[in-house]
Amino acid sequence: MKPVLQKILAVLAGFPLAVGLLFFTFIATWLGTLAQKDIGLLEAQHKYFESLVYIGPEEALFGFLRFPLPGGMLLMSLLAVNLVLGGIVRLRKSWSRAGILVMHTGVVMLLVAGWVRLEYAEDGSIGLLEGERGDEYVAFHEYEVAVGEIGAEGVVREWVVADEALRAASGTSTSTASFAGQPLRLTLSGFALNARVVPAGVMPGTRSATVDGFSVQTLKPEAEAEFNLPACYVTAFREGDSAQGGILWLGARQPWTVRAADRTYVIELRKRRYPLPFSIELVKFTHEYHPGTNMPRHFQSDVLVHDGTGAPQPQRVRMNEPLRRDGFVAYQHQFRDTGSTQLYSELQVVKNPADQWPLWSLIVMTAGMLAHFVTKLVRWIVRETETLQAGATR
Amino acid sequence: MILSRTLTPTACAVLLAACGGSDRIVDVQEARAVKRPAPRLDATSAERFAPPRSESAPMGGSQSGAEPFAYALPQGWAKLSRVPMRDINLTAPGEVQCWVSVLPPSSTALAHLARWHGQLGLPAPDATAIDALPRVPLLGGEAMRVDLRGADGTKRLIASMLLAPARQVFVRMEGAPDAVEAQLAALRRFEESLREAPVVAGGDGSDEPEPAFGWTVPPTWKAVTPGPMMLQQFDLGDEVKCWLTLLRGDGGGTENNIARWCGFAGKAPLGSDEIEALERWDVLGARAIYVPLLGDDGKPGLVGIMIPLATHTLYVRMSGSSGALKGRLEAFKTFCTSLERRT
Amino acid sequence: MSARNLWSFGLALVWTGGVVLGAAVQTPSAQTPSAHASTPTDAPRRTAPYDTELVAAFERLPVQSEGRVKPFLAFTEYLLLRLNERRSFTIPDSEAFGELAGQRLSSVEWALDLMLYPEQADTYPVIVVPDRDVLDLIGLSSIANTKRQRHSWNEFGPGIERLQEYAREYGRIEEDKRSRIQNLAVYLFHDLVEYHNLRSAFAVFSGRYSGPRAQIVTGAFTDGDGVIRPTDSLRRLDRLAEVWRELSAKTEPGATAANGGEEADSIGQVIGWTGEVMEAAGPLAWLPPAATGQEEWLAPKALFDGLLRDGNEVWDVRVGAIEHVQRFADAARNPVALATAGRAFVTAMREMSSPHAAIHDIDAEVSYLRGDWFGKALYCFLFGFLAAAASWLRLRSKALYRVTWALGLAGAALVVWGVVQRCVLLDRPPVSTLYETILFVTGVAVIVALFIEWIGRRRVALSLAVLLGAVGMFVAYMYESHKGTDTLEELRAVLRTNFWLGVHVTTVTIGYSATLLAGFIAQVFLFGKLFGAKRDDPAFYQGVVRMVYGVLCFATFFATFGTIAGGIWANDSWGRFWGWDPKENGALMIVLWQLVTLHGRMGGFFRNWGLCLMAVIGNAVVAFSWWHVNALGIGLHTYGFDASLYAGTMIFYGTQGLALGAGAFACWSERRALASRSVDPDVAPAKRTLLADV
Repeated sequence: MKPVLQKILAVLAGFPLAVGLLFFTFIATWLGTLAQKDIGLLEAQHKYFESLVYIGPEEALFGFLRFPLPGGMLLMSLLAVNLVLGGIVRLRKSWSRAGILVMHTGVVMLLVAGWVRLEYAEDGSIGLLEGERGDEYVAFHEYEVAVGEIGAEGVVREWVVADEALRAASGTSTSTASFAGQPLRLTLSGFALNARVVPAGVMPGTRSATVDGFSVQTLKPEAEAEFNLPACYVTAFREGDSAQGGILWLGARQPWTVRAADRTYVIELRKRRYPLPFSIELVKFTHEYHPGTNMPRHFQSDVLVHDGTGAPQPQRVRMNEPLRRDGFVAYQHQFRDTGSTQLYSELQVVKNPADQWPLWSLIVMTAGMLAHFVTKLVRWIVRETETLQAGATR
Repeated sequence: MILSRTLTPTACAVLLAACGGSDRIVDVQEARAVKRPAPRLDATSAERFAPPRSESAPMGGSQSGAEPFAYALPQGWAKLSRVPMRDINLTAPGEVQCWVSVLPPSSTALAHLARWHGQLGLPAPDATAIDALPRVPLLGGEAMRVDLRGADGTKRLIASMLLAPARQVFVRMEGAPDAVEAQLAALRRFEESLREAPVVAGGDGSDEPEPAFGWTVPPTWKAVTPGPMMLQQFDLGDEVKCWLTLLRGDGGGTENNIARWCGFAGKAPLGSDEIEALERWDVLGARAIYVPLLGDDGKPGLVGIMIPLATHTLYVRMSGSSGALKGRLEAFKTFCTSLERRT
Repeated sequence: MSARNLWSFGLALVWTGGVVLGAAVQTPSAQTPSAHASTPTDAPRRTAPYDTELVAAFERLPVQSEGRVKPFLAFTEYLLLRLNERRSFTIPDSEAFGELAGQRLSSVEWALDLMLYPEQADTYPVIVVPDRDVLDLIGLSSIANTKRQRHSWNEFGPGIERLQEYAREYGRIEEDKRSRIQNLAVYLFHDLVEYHNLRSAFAVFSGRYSGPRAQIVTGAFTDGDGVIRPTDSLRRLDRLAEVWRELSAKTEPGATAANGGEEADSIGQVIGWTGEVMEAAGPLAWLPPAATGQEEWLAPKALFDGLLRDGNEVWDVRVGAIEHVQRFADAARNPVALATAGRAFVTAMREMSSPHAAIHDIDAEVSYLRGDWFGKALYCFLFGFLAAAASWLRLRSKALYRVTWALGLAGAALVVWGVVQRCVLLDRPPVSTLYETILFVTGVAVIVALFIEWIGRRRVALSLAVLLGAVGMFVAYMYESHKGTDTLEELRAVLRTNFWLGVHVTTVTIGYSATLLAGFIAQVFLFGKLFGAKRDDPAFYQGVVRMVYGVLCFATFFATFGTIAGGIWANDSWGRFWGWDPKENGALMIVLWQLVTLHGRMGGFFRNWGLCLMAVIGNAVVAFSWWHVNALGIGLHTYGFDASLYAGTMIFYGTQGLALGAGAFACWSERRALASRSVDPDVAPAKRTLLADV
């Protein structure tokens, strides 16, 4: 057993694997970049960089040749292993290799940071008009079905069916959600990532179901995933009452109303919302253009952060100067200029546990590279000078 | 026995898998306490799924060069160039400004109302103010109509807000109270005329085949290489050209097209009643609008006809000096009426 | 990050601007204050050359354009470059042009002609139409049939409206979806609008009011000679407006002379005429703002609006500027007076703008433009390359070697000087735009190559330094004249002022540069072997390989550092370290390719030949990252591209492919020759893995 283990270890730590991994990462990056033209950035990211295996290239060679190739997730995981085993643990330790060791450590840190970001970060944006206050931010490409209960003061309580369950309700699969003792159960089906809801009969021959004279027409996903409008069918099973069918769609103008027992619910499919542990109030938005043009030169949001304890704290958010608080970082994202008084500012909010790790890894890597390459440079200069002198004396 | 016990669920699972479907069960335990004004309850499907302006751009306005909605420009109003947050920007007589903006869902009706109150120096509205607002039809939905006068009496603000989960549409009019009063009827006509901008070539419906046409060419006309976007072009002599173009949908709107043609012929755009008064010809089974735009003999002129078809609009245009065009009107009509569909 | 919103937002604004410009051309009659101006039947013509000092003065006239206060020279150079594809214009040697036939006009001289003698300038064949199909499209087949590629405004006359029609139609199509002709039509129209905007910017001020003069008008203008010029009315514009308002309030529309209607009308006519003149002067913003804190310079029409809004008290100083330009325009028929008035005008304008910080760099920018450092560097490198080529033929010649060194150093110094001057003028790090990457990449490649030569003295690096310098400067020149816009451009907010951004672009560009240098040194190895040069000097080839390897290490350091620094900038700016954006991926691909190369060599999968072949592929990878990804039309980093640049990239791929093929062939034939001699000094005997020893 032992020799086999050692052999595996040798392969995992080996040079051939390193070169192969780097080469295929190069290929994946290349094909994934070209693919963005056809399938958009987000899709390409999933398919090429976050996958174990992909089939590429997007535009088949000679119109028919495509290959299964290792995807970014597989490559980078293996690379991390290879680096740790071969580039750090089994690296022959000597002063001349100290630089390499440090360099490799930096790369591992970077890969780990990337993985943590991918797995644990949550990002979205919060858009505010001056004077408005918000305490949740909206995901870019994740959705949810929200069930709001109507009380005396509008929507008072809310249950959420998560993105995962919603997406699971595609094809012939369904997702059924119940809500902690509420007289209501929802079954979702026919999820489409990008769709429009059209009056039935608009598309003769369509196979999708018709509800109340409307049906879901599936569309090709947008190249910019942000602009997808997902939709699904929903059946509401009401306690002591008949089931009721409906369609949920991100593009709908009003939520779907369901009454069960003596309660009223509004149900909508929306972009996933993340709560913030504090709220942000946009006090003033300022922007400047390059004079005489419409090219923004500078813009910033002055906000107040309310955390429920004590006085709200003023903070300025602008390009490259985000607001950092409780593990959340809010960046000045974009804005809309009214030409008058109505200013709208959008902050991009990210919760990323690995926020500053790349910087540390860069510092480590740079130290390693400097040590290694400067040594090499000096050695080369010495050697060339010697050759030169040898030539001169000859 | 043991075998059958294991087999039955397995068989069921296999059967289920064969059907392809599975049901994921989730029990949502956690409820979040929220405080949001109630949306409009019991909206019908037609209200909920009224077509969006553009499915690719829920952010609204400034996404592309085209205005988000088609509309008829009331008499005496003028278009201004678009500025951010004014996706349609117009001016009406008496220094009245009118504009349409499309925003992502960002705020509540009360917040908008409060902001406007602030702008006009009025006390903040209370929550019931929203319910008291009258409703007006807008873009197939129901918009809340706000009508406010400034505290100092110099300004009047009228706004219709249509709040949907995907977007918020505002039609605003501002100006001196008297001037705004004078434009109320025009504003109503304008709002009624607002509709989702038709998707032009390349958008949806592009899987529809393009219709093909046949025609009889008058003897003196000479077919020449068509320019881009042209189906066919003819040289009629004296630098007069006649050409056919086919666009999807209504090709950007009758009024817009006529206005553009007018610009080409150096004329002021026609008002809606003037367009109404234009001659109609029966071409290809449709009521085609005949648009002769002629000036003094030496001036550039343009004679065109718009033929609305089921999925497309066909345009035949003839341009040259007005004098040269006048002598060719008969031939133009003969040509247009000779148009027929081909498969 | 929704980049799309950000960009399309900007685009929409540009489009809106286009509509406004378009409107200006649609009704040319509204642009000419013909209503009551005494149209001179005999428009002034220029017969003598301009006074040189006058031209030098105008080069330094501050104007604001594209968000920046710049010398008039910068404005005219690029306008003429766009229209004429050259920075100067030579009047054809034909009788029709009288005394001026055959004269070469600098961009400022041409612009002065256009602004002072529009009727004359309209006959200059100065507008290049690169494809006659555009002319056919707009019904100008007759001029398309002439052999000339350049046409005058007058020749375009009848086709402009049709062009506008097409430009509008095509303007609705997204730029990258337009056909070549559609794009040309849009650009051509845009250029013609700019021509039109500059046309008569000064000439209009020589106009005289000739409309109705009721008693009240004569009364209001008693102080002068009875002639009403633009400034006569501007000087008292607020009072005129007040009188007009009073009179109009008292009279009903359509009132007669008896009850004051004529008076109101007459005053109104004068005000209206003044406004028309000011509007006809076009959008060129040459009037400094009223207060030092303000940044937006004014075109004459904005001054007119300001006078009506804020009154003469605020704006009278700027009316002085109009007085100067009016004197200048009045002197159009008299060369001597013209020179005096023109210099006085520019002096006055510079004085007026002196409180504004924005003008402090005007003279430096003129010296930068006049200096044409990169053009001069191109010549240095070209002659350096000739010297280098000659020195290869006469290897013993120390003199030629020294001349090459001198020219290479001079070229490098000029590039550095030019880049430094740009940094000072724009107050930002050396690399922010695509154009600047060309300059920087060339500069770094030349300097690194010169350094290698200084250490190793093998002539290879020196020859490459001058060759790459010449190619780089030529590409920069082509890019600039192709783009035809001011390369000293302002940046949008995302690209401004961040430490990590500056570090990122600078280092990553050094990475590009060194990778390319390594790739070209490798080609010396490959082609040297192919043509059997220095056959008996293995030490030479060993030295070349060491150079390739050393430069690759250098490149790896900078490319890696730069790429990660870019991520850190992105994380600082919008919270994502890596977004798989094409430009980021391109940089990563360079790093990965270098790592494959370096690790492959360390692992013994290939040695000298392999290293050189890999380095050549590295060139193609750089081309992909530097140019090709911009053509994919996706992502944050795409700075805008052009079909011909895409074609250029493809040609570069082609050349590198050829080099690779030639190198592979040379490798194969050498190995065959060695195998037949069964001596293989270059191949490590022990290890033969994976890629073998290609």
